[in-house]
Amino acid sequence: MKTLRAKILLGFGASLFIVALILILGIVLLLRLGRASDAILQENYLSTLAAENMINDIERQDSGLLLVLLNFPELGFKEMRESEVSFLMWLGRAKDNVTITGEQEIVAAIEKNYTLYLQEIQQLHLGSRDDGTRLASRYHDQVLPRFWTVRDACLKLRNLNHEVMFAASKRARRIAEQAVWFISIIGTLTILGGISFSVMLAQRLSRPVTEINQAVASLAQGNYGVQVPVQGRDELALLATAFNSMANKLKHFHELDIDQILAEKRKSDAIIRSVDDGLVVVDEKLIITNMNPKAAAIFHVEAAASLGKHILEVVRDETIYRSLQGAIATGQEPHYEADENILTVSQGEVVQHYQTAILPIHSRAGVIPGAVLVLRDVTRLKELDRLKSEFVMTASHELRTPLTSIGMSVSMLKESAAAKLSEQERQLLDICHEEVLRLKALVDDLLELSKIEAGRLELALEPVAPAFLGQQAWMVIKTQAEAKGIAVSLEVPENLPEVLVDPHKIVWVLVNLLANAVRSTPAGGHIHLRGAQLGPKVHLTVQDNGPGIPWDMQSRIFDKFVRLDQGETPGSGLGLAISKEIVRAHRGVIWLESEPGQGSAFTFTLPLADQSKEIETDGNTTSIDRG
Amino acid sequence: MATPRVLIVDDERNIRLTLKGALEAIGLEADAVFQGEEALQKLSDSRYDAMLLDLRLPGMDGLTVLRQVTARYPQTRVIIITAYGTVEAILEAMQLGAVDFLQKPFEPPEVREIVSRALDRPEGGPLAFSYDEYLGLAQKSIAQKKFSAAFVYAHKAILVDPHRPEAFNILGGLYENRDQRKEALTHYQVAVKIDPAYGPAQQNLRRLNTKPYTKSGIVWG
Repeated sequence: MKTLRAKILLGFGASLFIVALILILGIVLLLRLGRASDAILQENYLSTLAAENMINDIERQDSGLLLVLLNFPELGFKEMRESEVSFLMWLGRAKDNVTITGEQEIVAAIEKNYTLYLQEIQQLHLGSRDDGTRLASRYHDQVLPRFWTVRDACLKLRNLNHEVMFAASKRARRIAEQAVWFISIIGTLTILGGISFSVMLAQRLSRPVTEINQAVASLAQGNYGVQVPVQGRDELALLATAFNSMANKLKHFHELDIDQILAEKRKSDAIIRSVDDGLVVVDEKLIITNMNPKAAAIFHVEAAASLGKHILEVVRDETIYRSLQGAIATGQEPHYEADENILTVSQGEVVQHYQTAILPIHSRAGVIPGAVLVLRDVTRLKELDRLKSEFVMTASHELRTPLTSIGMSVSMLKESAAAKLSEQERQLLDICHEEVLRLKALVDDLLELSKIEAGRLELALEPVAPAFLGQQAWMVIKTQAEAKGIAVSLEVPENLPEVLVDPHKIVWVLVNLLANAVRSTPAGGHIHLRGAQLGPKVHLTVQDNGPGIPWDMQSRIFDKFVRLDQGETPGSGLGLAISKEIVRAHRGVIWLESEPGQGSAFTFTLPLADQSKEIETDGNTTSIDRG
Repeated sequence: MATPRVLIVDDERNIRLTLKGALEAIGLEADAVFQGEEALQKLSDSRYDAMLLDLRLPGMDGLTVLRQVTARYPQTRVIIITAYGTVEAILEAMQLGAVDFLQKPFEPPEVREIVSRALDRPEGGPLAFSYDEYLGLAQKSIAQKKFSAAFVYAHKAILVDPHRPEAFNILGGLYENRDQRKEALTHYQVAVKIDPAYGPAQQNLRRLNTKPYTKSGIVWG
């Protein structure tokens, strides 16, 4: 496999190879140059030297001969012998060093002519006594021409070698020039090749890296479709392949995610659209982010046009606005007083009532700032409630006429016929009278309750000492309790601050609670009526040690017509409901603490007279449109 | 003086019988009829000192009967009977000349007291009771926390004499009690206008105009 490493190695290897090539070439060329000069020395210099010496020797020999002829035989012969030996020695060297064309023939001619030269000197018979003149003419005619021939041949040899030397020198210079050119060109080419190779390699290395870099940046920006081209099979190509694979997987996940989110969104949109209740979703700045058609219909707006608007632009209701703000700030559902969360929308003649609920949006990570406003149409329920109240009121009224007749009859019977009746018959009459009174009380209770529910409770508020209220109630119930053997202890401190109440109504509540306690407590039991101040309120508590109230009844005990199956004379089932309404009209609360078998304690709160002004102002400025 | 005669008009037979019995038990003479036309017939036949008239009657309704009775027989003291506690209906009847009213369910003593009270007046007809007597009845009702009754009597007192402040003051107090401050203010102001020296109305006005406002301390007069 052609790996990146191999590529780099190959690249540098090639450069090194070329450098080595150039080096070898240079060495070869240098060697060639050396050989050329060596050749000059070997081939030509020795020949030239031999030629020079031979010229010198033959001239000395000639001089020696001339000396003999001039009658200086001793010196002449000596010179002739020495020069002949030297000539032959140099000739031998020249023969050994025949290197160039034509040299062989010249050397052969020198040898032949020198041999002839020596023979002709021999034929002069220099030892004999000839006369000098004849000798000189023979020398001139025979020996001197031969001398010229040998000497010319030697000169020819020398010149030939000189020419060859000159040519060799010229050739060496040419080789040197060639080497310079050759090295220059190859070197330049190599450098150019190396540079372009480096650039190419750098580019080849950096381009895929740059591409991957850009792709990663693109991927980071959410472009999951990005791919890098894969070229070759090197490490970078592997990286590119791996990157493409990763990008594909990311894209896949992303699409999966998007699909899932879209599916969830469509699902929740469908749910929001399809529910019967009005739904409005707001973000932390109370900007509407979703709204279903029902909600749009409630507020008479276009659902689509309302998106992005502030909640107050669409829902002009201060309470809802505040509740939403509170829910987003705290992450808690707002707490409503009874009926406080009813939104009434009037459109011409039609009045619709909606129960509102606000749900902060939670996620696994915590609270997402935002909330859902749910509007449930309770118009029908309200209408039913109204019809029910109306029915109760009508029924109570209608009951009054027969009740009057019975009451009148029984009373008159008691007046006139009592004397004529037996004790048992009188008792029967008393029972009738008692029951009529109870029925009247029930009807009165029902009417009172419907009046209170209709918001028509009339309170005559005045500052009263809580002890006085306790005293009044205690007096009413004392006899009844004592008859049953139940002790009622009055434990309302005299020094409690005054409360602002309608004493008649509050005494009624206390008597009702005490009567309930008396009814449920067995003989020998004990009832406590306690009072205490806690903050801006006075708490009054009626506690008994009777059987207590079953857990399942405790939450409904203040509802209408809820009765416990205990005691021999059950009440109307309205007492606690009325008590609750009366306490509420006093802006108080009533609650029960009871453990079955341990007795029960009813406690309610009353406002202090000190704060009466503030409370009263409230009472008069608060609109009662809501609910 | 002849035995006082009372005419009972009620469509309920049992109410007629028991009322008749209760009144006859105290020595009154009582006749009972079940509808308006019959009642008018009875009245044209003989004299009746008092009349117990149910406002809900078959045929001619109670208020029509009342109008005719007060127009034709001004001596008859009309006491209306109602099972519906709506103050407005009673007020209308009182305006038309009824002198008192009975609310169901009632007991013989109550019936006898109201009827006797009406018969005791020397004057007959719509003006049997004086302003002061109605005022007294209103005060008594307030004491018994019967605010609706007090409201009716105070109104009736004004009908008798609109130039005295006390009834206006009481009405103001009753409105205040119902948290109707504007109405209360108007009535106190009328009382003070009628008699600038009338203390209770002045006190109530002062309290009403004081900030912070408190309902407690209404001076009834």
